[in-house]
Amino acid sequence: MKIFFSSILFVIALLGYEQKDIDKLLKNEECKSCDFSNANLSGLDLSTFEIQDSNFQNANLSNTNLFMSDLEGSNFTNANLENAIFWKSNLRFTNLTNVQAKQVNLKGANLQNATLKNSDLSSSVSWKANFTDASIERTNFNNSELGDAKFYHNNLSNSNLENTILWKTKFKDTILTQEQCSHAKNEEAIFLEDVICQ
Amino acid sequence: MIKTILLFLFSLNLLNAMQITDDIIFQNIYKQQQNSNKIVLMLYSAKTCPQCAYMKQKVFKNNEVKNFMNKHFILLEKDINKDDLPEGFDYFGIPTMFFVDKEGKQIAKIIGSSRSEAFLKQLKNIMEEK
Repeated sequence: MKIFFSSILFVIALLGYEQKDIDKLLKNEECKSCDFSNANLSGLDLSTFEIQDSNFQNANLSNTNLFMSDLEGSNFTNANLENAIFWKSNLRFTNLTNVQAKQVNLKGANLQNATLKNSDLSSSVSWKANFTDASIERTNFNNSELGDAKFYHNNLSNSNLENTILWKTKFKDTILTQEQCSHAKNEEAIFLEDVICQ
Repeated sequence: MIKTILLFLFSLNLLNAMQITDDIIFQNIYKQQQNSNKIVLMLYSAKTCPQCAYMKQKVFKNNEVKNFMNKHFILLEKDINKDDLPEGFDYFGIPTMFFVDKEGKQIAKIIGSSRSEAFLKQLKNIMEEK
């Protein structure tokens, strides 16, 4: 009997999220400080939803529509965000560590103070995205469209900016490698002040 | 009765639907002998769209792209805020580039922006598959 109950508890722990949180989210279009870890939210339309300070660790949000949603302070560590739409959404203070986000749409998204570490944002569409004060480490932006985006107070020197569109992208108080600097200049990026090419 | 009204509205809509071949600029392009083998690149964009501006101000002005476009394509610009799309053409986002032959048949479509090298490759593929 003990083994039976232990197994149930183990399965619940593996699931992570609570169904009541998903039901609440879909019914009220908001759920603050909720637990969606390990949940499969793939392909859902969550546009304009308010889901601040929530836990999306290991969740599947591929192809999910989060247009203009408010996700401030949420944790997406290890989540699958491939092809998801975050157009004009609020991603301030989010944790995007180790996310798989190929072809994610971040057009006009606000990523101020977000954490991007070992994240794959290759082939993303991130025009006009705001990365001010974001902590960016070993992040792959290869082939991404970062035109008109803002990179203020960042260190991008160990991230991949190869083949990116950097047209009118603004850099200020940012550390780049020599290679990244010459690519940015070729792309007609705008160096405002204190950009270090090392 | 309702069916009759719907049928009437439907046929009215069909009558109003403009074909690309009805477009005066499109017609004028193919009136010129030197354009007879070229493909129309119809760019559907807007003044406020940064991706459209990038394509027009950076990519189309790249020397290799410009030369290839001059040789094989004629640019026809349409504004999302002013121009209706012709019958049979649809778009999801801007910029959308429709490639149209002189019979008015859409032979390819590119959605979104890309860097000059990638865009040139796409143009070459369109010419190969033509």
